[in-house]
Amino acid sequence: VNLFLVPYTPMRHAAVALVTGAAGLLAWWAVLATMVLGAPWSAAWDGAVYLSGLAAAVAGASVLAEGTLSREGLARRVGRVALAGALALGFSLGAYWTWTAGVLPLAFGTGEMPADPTVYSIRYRLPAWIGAGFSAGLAAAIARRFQAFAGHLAGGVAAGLAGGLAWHLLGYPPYSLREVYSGLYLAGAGGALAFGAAYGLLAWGIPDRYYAGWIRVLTEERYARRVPIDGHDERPRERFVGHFPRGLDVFLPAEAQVAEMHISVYVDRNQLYRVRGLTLQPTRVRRFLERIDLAYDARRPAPLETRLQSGDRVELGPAGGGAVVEFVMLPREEK
Amino acid sequence: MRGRVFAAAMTLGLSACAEDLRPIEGTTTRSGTPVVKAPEHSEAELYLFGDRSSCHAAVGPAEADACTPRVDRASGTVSVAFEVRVAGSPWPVPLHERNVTVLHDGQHPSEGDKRFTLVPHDPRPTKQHIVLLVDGSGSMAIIDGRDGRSRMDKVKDALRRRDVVDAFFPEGEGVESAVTAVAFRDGKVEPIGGRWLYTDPAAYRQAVTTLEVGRGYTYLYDAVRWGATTLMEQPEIRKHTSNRQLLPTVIALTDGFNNERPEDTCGDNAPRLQRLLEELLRLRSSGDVRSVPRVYTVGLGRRARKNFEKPSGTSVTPIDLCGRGNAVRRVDGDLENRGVDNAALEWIAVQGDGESFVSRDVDGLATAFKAAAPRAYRWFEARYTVDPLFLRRSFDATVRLEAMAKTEATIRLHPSGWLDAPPGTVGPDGRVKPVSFAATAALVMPVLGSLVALHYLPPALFNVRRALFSRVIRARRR
Repeated sequence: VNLFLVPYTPMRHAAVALVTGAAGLLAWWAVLATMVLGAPWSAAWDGAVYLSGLAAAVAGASVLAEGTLSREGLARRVGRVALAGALALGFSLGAYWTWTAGVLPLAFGTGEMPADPTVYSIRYRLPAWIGAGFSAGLAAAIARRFQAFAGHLAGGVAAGLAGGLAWHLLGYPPYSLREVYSGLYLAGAGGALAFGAAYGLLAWGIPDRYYAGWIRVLTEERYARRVPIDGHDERPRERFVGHFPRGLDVFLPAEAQVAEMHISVYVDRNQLYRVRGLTLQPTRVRRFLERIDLAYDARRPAPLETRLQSGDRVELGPAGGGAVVEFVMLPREEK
Repeated sequence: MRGRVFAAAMTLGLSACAEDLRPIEGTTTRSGTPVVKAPEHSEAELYLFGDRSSCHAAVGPAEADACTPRVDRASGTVSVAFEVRVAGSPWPVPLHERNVTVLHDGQHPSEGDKRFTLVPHDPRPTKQHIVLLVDGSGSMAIIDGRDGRSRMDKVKDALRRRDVVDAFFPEGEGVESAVTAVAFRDGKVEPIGGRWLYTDPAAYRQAVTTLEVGRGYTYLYDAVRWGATTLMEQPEIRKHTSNRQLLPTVIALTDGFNNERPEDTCGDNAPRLQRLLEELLRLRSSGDVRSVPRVYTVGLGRRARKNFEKPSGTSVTPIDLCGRGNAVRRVDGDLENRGVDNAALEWIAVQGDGESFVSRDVDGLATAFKAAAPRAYRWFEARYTVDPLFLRRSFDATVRLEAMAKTEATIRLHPSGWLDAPPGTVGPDGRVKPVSFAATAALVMPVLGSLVALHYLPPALFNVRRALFSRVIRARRR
């Protein structure tokens, strides 16, 4: 995972899901390989090994992705991944046996079917999936020092549900599809992939603080000149754009109809970006199917402002003859 | 509460360990220890191969794949392999699907005639002693067709055919076979060519030409009883066959009914047949299974009862044997003109663990003779298909031997409740060929590749979009 390969688009939310999905798939592959070569455990442990391996791999991959994105030191990164993996393994084993040996006999009786570990049934197995998801969420939350704790748990439970449902639907395809496929082979792989992907998508996504807003000049004069809006301390900041030669953050020539102090772009403590129009000269924010006029209106007590989104253009001066700057979110490490 | 504790212990795997489940290599299935049920007085038992290592040791590495128990949940196919053992040693036997019953959790795997497939492996030349009992009664002189050849001539032609002689005297290193051929009529048996045993094919062929038709009634049941019991006790026969461990097979050929007196009716044959069947049953349930003859019956002519279906019981009633209205009809001059008593022949063959054939021509007779001298096989693969839904938990696969010895073996197979290895490929013969674990790479690698591609897709699209929507804007100069 490399933050420079994750642009600030809605797709960034899926970046970790791709990693954790791959981790889930590889965990399934490893467990299956061990079983095919001659599992050293009994049939009753199949589910425990599969689900706890899955939870450990997915939780570890999520923490590893975070560590890589934030360029943690190797030792700390490995330590946190090991902690998350070990906790997820332990929690999910505990959850599995709590369900299988404790709750399942109470809920479904001690008949032959509930006690048979080889029975393939979503009815008896879904809680074990949910337990594995919960364990993965809890372990990762602990490794992240309880940041977004509820989100981790909810995302983990949702991942367990998604994994269990994928496992069930692929193993029990509708009758019309049973001629094409029927079996647990794809179900095991699909369940692991869905578990990992859902976990990455819901439990922990790349936070906005990994990115910073930049103003970048698009017109020919001073093309590609850019300045970051915020500093590294995540405090509110304001940047000014105009043709005043001293003290402004972005200088644009007056020949391009840019006023002395044309706009300001600021970021608040919640990392939200806004632009203010500071002049009577034409000032517009343009985005897809949207145009916002920010020219200063003297009848108003305060300048007009609007939220900025990555990719927004701000036109300074008359249309076609002025300067254009864009607002773009880039990785905070961008120089 | 104790039940819950026990259930918890079961699920925790403690009991599973105690069951000594063995993983089947290349699959996610485990197998339990096969349980054999054999009659106390018999040394024969059916041995199921439980895992790859036992297959490897018994059949060798080349065929270990076919021998290993396999559960393919994608196609619903289950295959198990077995061999028959006597006193702990493998005993190659000639088996057909009719000699075996296969059960899935105590039920037939499917409805209909074809409930499973029996695939024999490792053919072995059979050391056998064929006892040919040929009806020498007067009716065998009848000429049925326009070719001018009598019924006895057809029998001679069939018995002298090269393929039949080859089946009676199979070639192979250390293989010895013997044929005893007798003609029976009027309650007496007469060795063909004056000798009780033929071990040389040429001498046998020559002797067959001396088969003759005499006068008198058939006494078919007495002849079968004699061939299965008295003949085997003759010192010359006993010495020859027991020293060489020849597998005895009785083939009884007739063109009509059992008939002992002129006034005999079909119903009179019921108690006689009952006595014969009891004798055969007693024979089968005593002594070494290898020395008990299997009894095949061959009818020359057409079936007297075309729609006969043998009742499941062992008691013979006149109605069962003759059909309604025929029990009081005379055999001589009446029923025997309708054809062969196929009902009695089938009854005898079933009780004798053999098979019954009825044919009117030489080819059909030859086919019957060859079927009565089948090849033996070291081990067999029993394969059946059920709805894959029935393979979603542990199940018992049972193979029951219905011929030679009543023995069965059951193995409990435990497919994993969570994961499966890649499904096998079903060949044209219905056999599921296992797929190597390496095939999983065909699933994993493309998916991982897609995930990596998806990782690069957003930045690529982002840059393409920025390039397409030209982020370089030229300012108009005044």
